[in-house]
Amino acid sequence: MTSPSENNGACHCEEALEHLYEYIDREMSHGDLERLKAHIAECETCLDAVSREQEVRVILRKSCVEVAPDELRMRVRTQLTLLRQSRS
Amino acid sequence: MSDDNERAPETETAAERDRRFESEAMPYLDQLYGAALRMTRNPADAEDLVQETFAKAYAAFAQYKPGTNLKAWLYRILTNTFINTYRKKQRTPQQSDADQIEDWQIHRAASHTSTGLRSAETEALDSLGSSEVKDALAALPEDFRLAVYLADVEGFAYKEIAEIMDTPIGTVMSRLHRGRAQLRQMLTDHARSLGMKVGEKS
Repeated sequence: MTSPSENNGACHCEEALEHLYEYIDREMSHGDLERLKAHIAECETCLDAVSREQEVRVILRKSCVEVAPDELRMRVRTQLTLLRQSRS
Repeated sequence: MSDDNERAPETETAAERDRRFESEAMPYLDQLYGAALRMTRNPADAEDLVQETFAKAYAAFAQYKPGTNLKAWLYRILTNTFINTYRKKQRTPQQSDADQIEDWQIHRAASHTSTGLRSAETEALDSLGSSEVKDALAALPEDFRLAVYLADVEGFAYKEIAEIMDTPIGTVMSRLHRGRAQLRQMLTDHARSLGMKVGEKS
């Protein structure tokens, strides 16, 4: 796997797709981020790949929203009260 | 290294610390429960796991450094507790070792990227219900599931996930690559099986 920083020239599809996750996760240097961004803005294939990954993430977040049951909230509070009392 | 300066102030009374726990840690209850549900895959274990996490967090709260990432600190306790306690008594059988997942699954996922039917796929994915999405996540091998959840739902950085899961960053990245590819493949297959005609738009 080539590191994006080894490549100082323009970014191409191969590099952008290989580092797609690091790009979306913003886990690369500012310079690499900008280089990939410039390529992706111009390239339909890479732009599609990015938006598809982001779409999956949106769906995932939307689906995983949960509210703790009231009973659990009470259990936790009761337990904290007991722990507090046992300390003093 | 004067770590002590960054800890909870020595002058803080127990009552003050209790109030701080109440106002800072308790608001994470819903989020931690959501994560616990994805980890244990059943509500009874998830509730026990969250309760135990809060007990441990409360007991260790004096060691938490104010101003550092409380959410990551709580998730680390949650994840440790899950791995050490609940994983052993999981009611659903565990899948084989996550890092030995068949490569054909990844190749299948990769083969779809060149079909040029991406918007159709996205459209179909969008109409999946949340229970189908959660089922797909639940079907991922545990290590992949945790990494994907922590990154994509909770938005933790690779470094934070590495600390939470107590694993090198390279392992986090490979779990994310494989977990995301598998998840997307399952979601696409599911959308297709529901007759949403992924990739058949003419």
